[in-house]
Amino acid sequence: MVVIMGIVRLWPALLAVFIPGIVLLYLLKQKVINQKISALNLWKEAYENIQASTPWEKFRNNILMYLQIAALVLLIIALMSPYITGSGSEYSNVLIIIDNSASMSGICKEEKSKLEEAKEQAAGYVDNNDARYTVISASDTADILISGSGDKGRVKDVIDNIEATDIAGSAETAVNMAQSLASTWKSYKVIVFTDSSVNMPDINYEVAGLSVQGENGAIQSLSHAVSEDGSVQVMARVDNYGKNRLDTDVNLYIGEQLYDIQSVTAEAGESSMVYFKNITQGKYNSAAAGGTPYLMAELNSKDLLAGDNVAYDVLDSESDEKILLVTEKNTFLEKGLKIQGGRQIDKVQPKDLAAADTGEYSLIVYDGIVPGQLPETGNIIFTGPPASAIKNPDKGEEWKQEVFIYGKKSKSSIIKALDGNVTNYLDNYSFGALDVTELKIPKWASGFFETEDKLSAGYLGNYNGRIIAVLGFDLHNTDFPLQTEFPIFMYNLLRETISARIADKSVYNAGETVIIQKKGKAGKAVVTKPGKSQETLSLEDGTAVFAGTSKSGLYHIKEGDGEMYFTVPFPEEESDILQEAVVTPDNKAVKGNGRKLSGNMSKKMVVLPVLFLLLVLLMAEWRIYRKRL
Amino acid sequence: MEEKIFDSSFFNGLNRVKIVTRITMQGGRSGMRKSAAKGSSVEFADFREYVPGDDIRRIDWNTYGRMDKLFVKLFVEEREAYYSVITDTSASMDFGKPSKKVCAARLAGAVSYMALNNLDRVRLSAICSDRILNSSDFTGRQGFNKAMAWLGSMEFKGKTDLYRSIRGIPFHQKGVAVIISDLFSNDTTDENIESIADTIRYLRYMKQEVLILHVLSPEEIEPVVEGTVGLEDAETGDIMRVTATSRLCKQYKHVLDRFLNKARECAKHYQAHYIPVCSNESIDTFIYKGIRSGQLENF
Repeated sequence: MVVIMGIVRLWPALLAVFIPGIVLLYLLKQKVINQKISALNLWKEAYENIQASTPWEKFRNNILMYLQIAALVLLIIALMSPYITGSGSEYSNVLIIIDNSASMSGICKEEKSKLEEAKEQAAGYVDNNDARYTVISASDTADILISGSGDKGRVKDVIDNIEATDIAGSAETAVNMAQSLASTWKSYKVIVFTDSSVNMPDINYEVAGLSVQGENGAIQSLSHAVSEDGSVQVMARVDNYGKNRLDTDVNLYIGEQLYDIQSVTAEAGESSMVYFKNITQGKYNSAAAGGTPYLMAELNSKDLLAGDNVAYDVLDSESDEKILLVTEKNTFLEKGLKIQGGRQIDKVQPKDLAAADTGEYSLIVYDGIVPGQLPETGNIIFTGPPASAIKNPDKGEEWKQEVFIYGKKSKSSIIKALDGNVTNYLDNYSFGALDVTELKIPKWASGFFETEDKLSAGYLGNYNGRIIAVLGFDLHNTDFPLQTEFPIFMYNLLRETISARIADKSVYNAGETVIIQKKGKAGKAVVTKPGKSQETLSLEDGTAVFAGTSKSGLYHIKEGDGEMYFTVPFPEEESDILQEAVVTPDNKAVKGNGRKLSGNMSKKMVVLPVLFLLLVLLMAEWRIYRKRL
Repeated sequence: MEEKIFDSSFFNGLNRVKIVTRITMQGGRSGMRKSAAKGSSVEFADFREYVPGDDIRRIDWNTYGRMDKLFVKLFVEEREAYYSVITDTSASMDFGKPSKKVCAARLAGAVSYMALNNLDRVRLSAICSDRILNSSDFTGRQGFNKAMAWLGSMEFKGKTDLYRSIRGIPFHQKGVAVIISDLFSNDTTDENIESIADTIRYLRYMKQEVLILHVLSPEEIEPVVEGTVGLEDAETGDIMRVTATSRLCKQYKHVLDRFLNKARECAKHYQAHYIPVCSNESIDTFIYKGIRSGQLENF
């Protein structure tokens, strides 16, 4: 521990000129009265004996002088208002908030990120101050990492383990948390390490501002479009968040291959578009087929924030998903499936089903028929399955017994919507239906429509890695399609069935959770993160939740034979470093190369101990003086 | 001397005591002390056959009746004792309240009075380092007045060198030497004791019975020194600057005790008599101390 002593004022040191005065007074021989005695020899002997027995006699003779000098020195020290720094803390509780949002990855000084600088300063503070520490990391949420701990080693470990994220956010949640925590403490201090503004009224806080001014360019969006002639157009938006004109190049990669370089200029605070035109379909396709179906654009210049200099765009998209509708004729269903545009819907008559290649469809809807064999791939929706087809399955059609458990056939029934994802926004909804095949719910599924006989008229579940939904009635025999709830239902149903890709989106925000669906028979999914680190998730429950999207970049999910990419873009608001002016409690904006934490060393006045020592000294002097008399 | 040395109470006590001597006198005039010589006194000593020429008054006729021979009775010749009363008249004796010089003169007077009262011969000596004053011999009670006058004329100044001074005093016959001094004659206690030892040895050699009356003032026994003072030696004029602490005073007493003890031991060793006297003590106390020590006895 470093302990430094300091003084508030220096002028009392001038009083030291009196010290020679004291010495002089003692050096000058005191005028004494002579006293006649008969003979000196006994006195001499006695005196010599005392000197022989106490070698400190000489010192003892002058001890009053030394005490007076010491007293004067102590008085001078007391007037100088000495203090010591470094040991102990003024506060019994210290709350450290460290902002680890995306902008904190920016360079602060000497190639060190703001977060690293913050961690270093925080650890330094912990070293020098004894207190009970609470540490909160703040991005979009605030996490209490350690609470009320006096174990400095642990606190420093916790601080050291705070990782940089690319999550957008500010210290606001943490500030709210700090305010509620502070209200329970009598003696506390809140220290916020951030590069954004903090305002905590009625709170004893200090901001270790880490805002840095400088240049920052960012690729904020990268997208592509396929033209009618089959060529692919790629567009990138480059934003200049710096104060000077940005003049650089943008490199476009298809997969891992560098495809093109284009120069770009953007004025301070403005953005500029870069187009990569006429990328041949062949090139595009080869990239997609080569297992690298993504584009990457990269700014060719270095700046304060590296995270936003790269952007990804995944090439496969929802528009690639095709639906096969096997029906005699069902306009309701057809319209319902088209409720979400952009998907290709192919229709086929049941009699032509055998000729159709079901392999390329991600969803197959069987209306009024049940095929002898389940298609190899794709999710399935059965509507109005004929009781005859499911009651007594032929040999080799055992799957039917698992998918359909026949209940009864009812001429009419009121069907009630149960709570669930498929019946989202259909609260307490019911409709009438004729000719309903009432079914029992298999183990792998959960029901969403219930008949009057407490049997199921609709259920959905993950059957051997694929989503299967069953409706026990023909839409023609209900008034359901005529009601406003029908499109909502169809939207929900499609979301539950068609989106059963490995993950439902190809772009996620940093910090967002990714639901990974089980596809095929693989029991686990392996997610490769931007740093090439991998995380394995179990799919035994049909889905897995991946929450490790804190860094921006390209993510890859591998699940059995299937795989997909998704991207996490760098949050746009975190790129704007010029806006990130830190405001301290006294409303002064902090700019420049990081503000040093003023309270890094606690200050303790030591006037009282000095005065106490002075008093003890004076008492000792009085006692010695009295004793001599 | 300004102070009245001798008053009526002084004599009252002295009339009843005499000084004991252990030596047998030789020579000198007749007096009250037993001597080795046979002569006329009331104290029987021996018988001897009559030879013509003897005083026929001394023939013991009772013995003649029994023995049919003439025997003459012999009696102890009583002679006077010779007292040398030696007073230290150095400047150190002129100190204290009451002053040691008054005490010394009184003691000298008392000894003289007791001796003269006992029909002894007294000689007074006043010594200091650079001079020795010897009085004539005083005898008889009428001699005491002269002795008092002589004592009253003593001057106390200069240093002491006990041994050297005493060697300057003539001792012609056996006698008693009474030394009245504070015994401060040298720089250290050990030197002082050495000087005392030399003195006693010399006096013993000169066939003197030695009586030392060691006179100290109350201030010397219980020093009254406060704060930082310059202690001035009365004899040498040397000044020693001391800050009187309780520790120093304690040490002084310790040194003084050691000195007194050593002086007593030394006297005992050489068969001298030693009586410490404080200058504030009355002559009665001195007599009491003398009787206790066996040096004085009642009639």
